[in-house]
Amino acid sequence: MDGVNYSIRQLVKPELVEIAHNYKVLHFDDFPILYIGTNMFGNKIIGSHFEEDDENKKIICLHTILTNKQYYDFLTSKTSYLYILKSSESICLVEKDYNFKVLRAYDFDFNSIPAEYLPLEDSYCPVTVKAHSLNFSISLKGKLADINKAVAEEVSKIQNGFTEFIEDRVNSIKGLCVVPKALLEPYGMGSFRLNFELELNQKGNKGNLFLQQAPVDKYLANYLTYITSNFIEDKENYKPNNNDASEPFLGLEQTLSEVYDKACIAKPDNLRQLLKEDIIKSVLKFEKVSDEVGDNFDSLLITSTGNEEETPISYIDHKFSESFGDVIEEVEIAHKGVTVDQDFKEYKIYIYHLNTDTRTGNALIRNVDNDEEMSKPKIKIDGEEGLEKTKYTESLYLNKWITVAAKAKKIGEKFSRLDIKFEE
Amino acid sequence: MASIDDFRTHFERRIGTDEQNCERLCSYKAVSINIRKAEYEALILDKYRTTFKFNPKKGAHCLVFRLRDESGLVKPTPEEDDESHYSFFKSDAFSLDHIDVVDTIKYA
Repeated sequence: MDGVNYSIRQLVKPELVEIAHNYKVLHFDDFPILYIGTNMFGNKIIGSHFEEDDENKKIICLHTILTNKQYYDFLTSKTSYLYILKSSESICLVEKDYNFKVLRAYDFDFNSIPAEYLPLEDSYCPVTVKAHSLNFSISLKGKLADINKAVAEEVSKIQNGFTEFIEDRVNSIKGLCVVPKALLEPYGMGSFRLNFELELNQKGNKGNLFLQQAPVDKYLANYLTYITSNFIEDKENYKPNNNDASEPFLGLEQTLSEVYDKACIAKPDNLRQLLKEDIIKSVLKFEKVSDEVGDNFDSLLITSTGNEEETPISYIDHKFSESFGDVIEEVEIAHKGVTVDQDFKEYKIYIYHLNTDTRTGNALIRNVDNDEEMSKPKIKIDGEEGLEKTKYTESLYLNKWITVAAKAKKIGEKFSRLDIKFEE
Repeated sequence: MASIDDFRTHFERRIGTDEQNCERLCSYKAVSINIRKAEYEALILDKYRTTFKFNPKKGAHCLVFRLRDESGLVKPTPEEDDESHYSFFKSDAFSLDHIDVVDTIKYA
């Protein structure tokens, strides 16, 4: 390559940046110009073609290890290839022979890329046909997840929250006559990865002959992308008497409409309204998944997997999780109203999370209208006395239900906050 | 300016000689071209513009040409995202005299 003597650069182990699995060409023009995949350790890699050297029979490419966020942002056209290279510290020049076998890899950096090879500002992911499937993966990254571990309780909540979420979405398609069953598959590598397969079984004798043609997989993927990429922005559209619909929402509605058409089932007249109501219902379920981000892992990437390729659907980090929770509360308040106790009242709660320094945490409490269902309000305990060896820490550590005096904030019949009066 | 190097095949450059897949090996003996039709025009330009976006040095030009008699054979080899793709198998005597350059589109 003109102007760069890359052979004097630091060699790196080729297997770190060599694509071993999930190879997918995003743009081909005589050579794979842009491609992605994963290395043998499960890290995501993006590669681009630089140059061929006929004299030495070598192909020079650029390989960059991606974070889950970079991978998601690039494949969803939120960020350009140029931006990835600019912000990355894990760029390598890869030397391949003329049979595309990786020979060597060298450490490289953005500033050393000759100007004539630099991707343009608008080097966004080329539009490719997205492969959808009913197989999903949730990959946790950061903290404990990076040493391939996860807290059992959190994994269980994510699994239950996610399976409930996808099964409910299929059930909400009226007249489809299928029984969705989400099956867990063995955990995989790549930090900590949960794998699911959604089975759609015909309901009794009412089988739908056209089910195979209905793009249920695409609908579920677009649904997840919508609630994690657009719902926050669209929050005003979910308030009572607001009939507005954003472009991404209309795209989702179109996919749902295709499901009805291709499955040859009658489409409800008020499809848009039903979809909006379903989204409001579903975000509460999905919050169970997003709520887990932060303590023991930093982010969560949901992908649709199948045919040896992956399509990213959603990326969730702590910042998203917080905003998502706030918007859900805002929408719920708009629909159900909010009430706040003027005086302290007695409530029976079970504290499952408590920071004894900030005196804040979360508790479980039975709902007013239905004691089969529980809310998990945020709690704050007043006073300055230490919380050690009090009934609050007893509840936390011994899983005990306790009675507290508190002022409650309720959205409809659900508790959203308890300001607890400290009692010895 | 067109160069004879633009018409060198992978096989002539000894690229992919270990390939075992017959179809792919055969494609290495051809030059990738696109048939110019009104319905494909935008897609073709977009394809080469995409190459330019990711590697400006590799995809700075797009040559529009007409093949003359005796230049070789063309075979339609449509791809998933590129229906206008053809494989051009040059005749042994192929030279730049076998093409008429219609236009050179510059992306830079």
